[in-house]
Amino acid sequence: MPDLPVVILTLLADATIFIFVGYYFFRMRQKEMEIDKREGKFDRDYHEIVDSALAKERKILEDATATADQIIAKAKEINQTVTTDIAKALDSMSSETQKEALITSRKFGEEYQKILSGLSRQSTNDFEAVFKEMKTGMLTQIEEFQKSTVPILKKEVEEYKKLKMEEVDKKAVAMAQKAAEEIFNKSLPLEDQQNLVIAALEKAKKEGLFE
Amino acid sequence: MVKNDLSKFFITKTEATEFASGLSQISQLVYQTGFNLEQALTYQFGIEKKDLLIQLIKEHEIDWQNNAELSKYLAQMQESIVKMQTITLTLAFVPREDTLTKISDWLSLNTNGQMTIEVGVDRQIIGGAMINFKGKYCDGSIGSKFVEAAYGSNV
Repeated sequence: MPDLPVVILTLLADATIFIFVGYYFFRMRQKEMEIDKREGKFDRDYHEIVDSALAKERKILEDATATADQIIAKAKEINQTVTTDIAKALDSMSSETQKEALITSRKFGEEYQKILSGLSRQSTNDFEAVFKEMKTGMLTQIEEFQKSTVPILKKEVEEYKKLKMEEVDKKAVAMAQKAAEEIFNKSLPLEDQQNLVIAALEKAKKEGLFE
Repeated sequence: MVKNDLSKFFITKTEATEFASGLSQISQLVYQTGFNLEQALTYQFGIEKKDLLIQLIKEHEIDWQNNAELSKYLAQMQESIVKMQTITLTLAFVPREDTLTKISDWLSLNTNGQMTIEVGVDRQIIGGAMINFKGKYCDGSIGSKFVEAAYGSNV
């Protein structure tokens, strides 16, 4: 059987351990409750901040949309105005340019007319001078041509004429001969042909061919 | 040399050449056994010419049974054909047999010695003949007269 003091000491030690563990659990519970409390506060703060941010965002968006609408409306208005102004300016420029062109054209025509008249007068004078010179030269050349070349040409023409006439004669004879050949060959009787051959032989005999 | 009138056998140069060729063939047969002149002549030239040749041989008193004499005579005939003169006639038409005979008869009567005729045809001469003989020439054609008439005496 164990000693009483040891038992008492054991019991005291056990009781001390139980107390210590209980205290520990109590402290743990307290800390947990503190943490929960902090967490809940943090959660509330977070929601507050988020809600506030969302509200601000919505406000900013609304403001931005309103501003953009205003800007667009203003831009449209400006665009319309500018377009009208430009069209008016262009119309004005066009009519001005047309007037200017008309004036310039008229001036240019007048100037051109003046220059042409001047040139024409000068050209006519020059042409008359050149023509006179040419006329004199040509008359001289014609005289020379008549004196020197015409007689040669006349002679050459005569020779050519003679040559051609001879050619024509030859052709005419050849044609007549061909015609005679065909006519004789077709129409001359055999006896006449034979007699012509004998006549040719007689002629040859007379010419002394057989001596 | 024996004088032969061969105008009955040929007129043109071509005919003369053929006749000479026939005589040459007969000459080669003369010494063959059983040679018969009449048969050979008939075979080579026909009956008509055979008769004329026999007549000619008889006229020249050739002993045709004597092969050597006959052979010599045939050789002489061939030689005389080869030596025969040729007259060249250019006519405007192709002559018929009777025309050639007429020309040959005229030549026999009007020239010395027998000659053969060589004929050419040129229709351009129209009529008459152009004659060449022994290198001499005579234009007896109508064509030349025609040209002469057309050009006068200048041509």
